[in-house]
Amino acid sequence: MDMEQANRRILVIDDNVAIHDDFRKILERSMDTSLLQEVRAELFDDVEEQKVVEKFDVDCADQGQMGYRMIQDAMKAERPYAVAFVDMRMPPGWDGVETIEHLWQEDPELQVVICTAFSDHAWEDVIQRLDKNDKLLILRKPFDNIEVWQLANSLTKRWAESRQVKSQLDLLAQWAEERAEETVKMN
Amino acid sequence: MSAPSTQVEESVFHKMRNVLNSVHVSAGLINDQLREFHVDDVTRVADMLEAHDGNVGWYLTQDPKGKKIPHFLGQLGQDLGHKHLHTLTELTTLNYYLEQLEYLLAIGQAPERAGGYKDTVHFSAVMDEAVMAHQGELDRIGIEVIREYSPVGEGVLEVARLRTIVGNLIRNAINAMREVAKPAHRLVLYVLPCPDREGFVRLQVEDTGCGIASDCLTRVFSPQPSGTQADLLSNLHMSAITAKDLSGSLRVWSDGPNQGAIFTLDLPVIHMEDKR
Repeated sequence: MDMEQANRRILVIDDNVAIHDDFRKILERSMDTSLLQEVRAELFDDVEEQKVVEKFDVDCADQGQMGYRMIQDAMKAERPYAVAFVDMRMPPGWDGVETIEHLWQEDPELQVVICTAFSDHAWEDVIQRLDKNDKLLILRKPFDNIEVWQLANSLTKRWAESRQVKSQLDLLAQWAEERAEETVKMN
Repeated sequence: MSAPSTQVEESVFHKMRNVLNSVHVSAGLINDQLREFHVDDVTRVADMLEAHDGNVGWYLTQDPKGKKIPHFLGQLGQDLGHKHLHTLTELTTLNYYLEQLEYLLAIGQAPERAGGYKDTVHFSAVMDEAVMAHQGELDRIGIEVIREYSPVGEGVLEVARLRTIVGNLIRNAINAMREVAKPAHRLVLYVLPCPDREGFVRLQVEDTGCGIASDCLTRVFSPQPSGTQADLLSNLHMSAITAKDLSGSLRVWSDGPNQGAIFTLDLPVIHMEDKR
């Protein structure tokens, strides 16, 4: 996977700032990649040197509107986020669903996890309103660290894959167009 | 439990769920960190040394594996120390969350005993709001505002009273700087965990203004007779009382006239009257 596609940028939108810390603790934690690992592997035969686990790059917003502006800025700077974790209830501003609608207007590629402690809308309503459920996952609070890590990990991969597919489709479309033009010229 | 306060209850439950989430994450992190403590390595190294009991010197200096042991022990020590500190910090955080849960539970069970409903407070936000309220004046005098905010948890206390104190301190700092013509005035705001009291946060407001003579330091917070500065200083008197009401303290230090002053407000992160 090339560098351009290894996008580890994550946006957390939650009105509770303590939850920002929770996400940061999980996603920005450097795994056990210290110098010690190297020396351990040399000294003990049964210890293998661990792969470096790349951290995520986490930004946070405490209101939907602010998150939306951050997505806009990211798109302008051509540094899109791969994944957004969005809380369901964020008084006084937009709720999670409204926020996600706005985010997708700006960045249709964004993978989204909606976080909730209890249902404000029935799930069917949410998914119906958003109508893009292949890019939407649900995370229940209280969440497990490993759950959040894996969601972030697999969704950033999915983001990269869908971008790759899209660029291949674009290439294909371009090729088809050129062919069509040639055919027109030939006739 | 009394029936009418469903809204308060729902809000309390919502907060409890959020705190519970942080408890979960914190405990999970401690668990992960402890698993990464390579304590067994110490035994393994001891075994290796024991296996070369007769010629440890040769083993540590000549043997390809043995030679690596001293360096390894250094690294291991550093690593364990580092992780130990991290885990301790996380345990302190966990403890703070548990206290918050305890407090929320107390409100849920008996709001009147918990001293009424309090707000979740972001200390740095309270400082920023107070600065914003005086921005026009700060700009006019040409005071540079410097923020030195360390991460501290959210607090639970009566935010209105905290706002009053911080507002008074900032107004006092501006007045002190207005009195002295200096090319560059600075207002420095600090938010940090209290270095000598666990569970307390320290807010400081430092100015480059007229300062206070050493023999006056103790009188700043006394009730003032009416006069030119009476209003302002009686605000400081009130602030000190309010700080005490919030189970905190307000102090001042100045190196002398024209040397500026620094006010230090220490507050418990969670304030419960009647805590039993």
